[in-house]
Amino acid sequence: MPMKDQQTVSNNIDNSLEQQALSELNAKHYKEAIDLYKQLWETSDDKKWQQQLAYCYLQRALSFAERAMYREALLLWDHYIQFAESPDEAYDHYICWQIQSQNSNNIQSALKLLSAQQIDKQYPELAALLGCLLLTEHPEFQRYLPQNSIFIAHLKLAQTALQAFLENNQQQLNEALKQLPYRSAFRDFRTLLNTVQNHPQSIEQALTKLPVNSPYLQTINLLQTCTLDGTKLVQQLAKCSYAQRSIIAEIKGVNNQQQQLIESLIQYPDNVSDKVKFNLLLQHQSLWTSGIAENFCKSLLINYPEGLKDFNNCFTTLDRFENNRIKALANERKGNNVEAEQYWRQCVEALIDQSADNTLKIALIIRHMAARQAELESSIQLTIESLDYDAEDLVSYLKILQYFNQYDAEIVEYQQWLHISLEKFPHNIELLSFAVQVANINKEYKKACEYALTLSSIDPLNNIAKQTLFFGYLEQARQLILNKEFPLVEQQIKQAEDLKLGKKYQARAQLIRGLFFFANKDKTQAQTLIDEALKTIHQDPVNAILQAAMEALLTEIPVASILEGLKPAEDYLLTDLQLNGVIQQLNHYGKDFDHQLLLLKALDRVKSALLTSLSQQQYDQPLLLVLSQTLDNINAFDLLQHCAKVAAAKWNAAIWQYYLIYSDLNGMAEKCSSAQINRLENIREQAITDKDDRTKVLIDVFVEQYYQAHSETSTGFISNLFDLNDDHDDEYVDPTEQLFKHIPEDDLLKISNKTEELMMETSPEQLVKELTQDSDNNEHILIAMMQDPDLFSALMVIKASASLGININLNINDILGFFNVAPTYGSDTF
Amino acid sequence: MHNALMKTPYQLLNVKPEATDAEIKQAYLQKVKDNPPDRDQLQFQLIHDAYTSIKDIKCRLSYELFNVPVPDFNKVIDQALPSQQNTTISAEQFNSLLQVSIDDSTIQNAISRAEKK
Repeated sequence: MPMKDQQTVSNNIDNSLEQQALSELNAKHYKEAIDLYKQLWETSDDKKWQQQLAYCYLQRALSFAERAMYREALLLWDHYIQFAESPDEAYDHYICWQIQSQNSNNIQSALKLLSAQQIDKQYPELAALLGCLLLTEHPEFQRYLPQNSIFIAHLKLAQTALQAFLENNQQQLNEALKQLPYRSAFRDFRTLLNTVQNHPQSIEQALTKLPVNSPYLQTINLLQTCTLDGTKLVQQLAKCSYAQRSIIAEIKGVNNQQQQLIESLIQYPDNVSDKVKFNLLLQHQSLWTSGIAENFCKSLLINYPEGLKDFNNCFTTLDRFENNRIKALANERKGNNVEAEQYWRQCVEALIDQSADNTLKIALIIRHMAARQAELESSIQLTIESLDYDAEDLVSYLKILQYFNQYDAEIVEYQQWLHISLEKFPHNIELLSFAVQVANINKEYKKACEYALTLSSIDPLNNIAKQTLFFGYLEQARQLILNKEFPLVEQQIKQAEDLKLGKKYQARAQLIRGLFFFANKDKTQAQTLIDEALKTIHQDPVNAILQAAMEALLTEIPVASILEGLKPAEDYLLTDLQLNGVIQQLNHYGKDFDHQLLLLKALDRVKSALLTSLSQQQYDQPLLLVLSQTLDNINAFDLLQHCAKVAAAKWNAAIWQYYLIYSDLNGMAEKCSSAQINRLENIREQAITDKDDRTKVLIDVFVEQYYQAHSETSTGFISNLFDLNDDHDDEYVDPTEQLFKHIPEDDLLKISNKTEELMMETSPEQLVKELTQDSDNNEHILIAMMQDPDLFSALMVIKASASLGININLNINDILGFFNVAPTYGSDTF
Repeated sequence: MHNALMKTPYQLLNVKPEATDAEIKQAYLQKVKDNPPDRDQLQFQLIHDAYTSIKDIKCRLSYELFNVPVPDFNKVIDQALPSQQNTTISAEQFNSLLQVSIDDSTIQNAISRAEKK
């Protein structure tokens, strides 16, 4: 290779190495940088590489020293000085490392090399440190330092001052300190002496005055620790050496027992566990005045019940009650409620055994147990038990009443508890409110009014009481009109009005007044009052007619006369809100069973409007569900049937299929055919799939009623369908009976068994598919089956007879024709 | 943690454990007057909770049965260790402190690490 080329290659390599070295140096990878700079230095003895090498060695040495690896730092220092042009620049560090490595010969040699100029001017931080060491651990260093330096002169002043302070020679102390100039290596020492003379007031000031690397800062910190007490003292002592702690303990007058406690606490700098706290207090209990350690340890037992035995050995032994109470609370803390309850039971037993009257404590413990029960029923049982010990607890009575009220206000227990509670607290608003509600539910209106009157006298703004009283007064007014005791009617109406429940309520009272006038032969004024009242109460004619008709029926006034002046409602289409108004009226008047027949009569007056509205308006499903429930409650089965048909056509919900069958039978389960029962089973399955618990329960109750009614007869499908049993109901004629009555009894039995078998495995949808492939046909037959499950049963009889090969002289179209369903266009046999 | 959290309801309301319902109510009303809710909501809530937990005999018995107030450990420790208002340090004690004040960190931190080339 030519010389020029060789040179070029060499330069390229150098450049590359230099860049790598610089890169490593900038990344503080000094070891790698040193290797690269060494290579560069070997290729060219350039001063630049020496400087870089010196820098890297020094930085590595400083890095080791930071990690207290002074021997390694000193080794690197030896390399550093080989390359450094002026190694004394970091000489103060070198001396510190030598002192840290504690090699006295090396320290001595290093100190001897220090010049007066260096210690007085160049290394002020080293001078401050050496000054401190000379005054404390290493007075021998003085011999190796330049005696002609200002540092040594100031050292003598500092030594004089310290000696004067120890001898309490204030004058000499002040003189010595005065002579120390501001730029002395002993400046911080002077601050320290001034601080200790004004201890502890000047500590804060000293802490701000001293630089963070001052060798006297630690002494100031120790002086500050001496001013602390209790846990703050312990926290600071944890940062001190044992020797420092011992001197501070001496200064603070800490005795051996206290020092042992401090040493123990220092071992747990972070959160101390309850177990450790317990054992510390137990071990050092003499440090506290009577009762403190005991009380504290007792409170810790809740979280550390394992200490119970030690506690009983060291302190006053806990009695049976306290032992069990601690265990119960400890178990509650851990979430062991079953175990806790066992201990609470033992607490109760212990309290019973004690001579003192502990009944209230026992009641409270049982109520505490009740409050922690997962099951509401067991909680109520315990609450009831607690009343054996404290029968005057209103909260317990209310809790019991609320519990029973959730299930059924008519149940005996509820009424018994209400009675007991009212005897104990006859003027309690909540209890009286319960009583009013229960009396209303149980249709004991007179009783409800009595409670409402009491409640109203205590709580004049109570709305339940006022409403109850209002309807009570109106009912009284109606009765007086019925009995023609006219002079007393106005008083009742006035009392109702005086309750001032609002505009619509006043109008209701006005309506009764109108009826009263009508009955009292003042028909003109009566009509005006009735019209005005109804206009105020209702915006639509349907609700107005319904209420007017009902009120007229209740007061035995001719309905037609009252309705004469009202706007007709035949074709009126009710809005959602107005339909809701009808529902509310039906619920209000339907509450009293005695009024139900009258209500059905009143309902007849608006039936046409209701049927039209149901057919033409697009009510949502929840509203129709509420309506259906109301119609069911008042036994308005024809309207229920219509409502269910409308809804079933829109929504494929089990409830509508159920209501179709239910209303068809006028709610009489005993009239149900086996086919309907079978159909109900299918609907029940759908309800379960749809998670429609309400419908499932309704079907269960209905089917149960059916089986109860037929418990003494055969429950076979065909026996019901064809009424083979003699104990049939004279009033009810199964429509399928006429269809199959010509079949001989032997054949009928065979067909019955086969039909039952087939119905187990065939759904209405499958059956219709077998009838025809025409989807339109399929749909109208299926809808017909849904509306009348007997059609399904009858078709299954045809299928069963066909599969058995028994000719019953009936085909599919005969059956469809019987049920007024259009014939199938496919085959008329299976 | 709020200091008041460490106090019992009796301490919070500044009443004796044997105080009557009327005395407790009186103390509560006074405390509410001194600490209205619009001034310090937390303090007011603490006072209110304290009152509801001891307002009548049933509440007090319940408190006694089902509550175990755990005193502040630090305060318990404070009671065991000396508390001197003025700690005087003799010259000898100071000298002892000075002598033991030097440790490795004193020397290590003495010289600040400036960039040295």
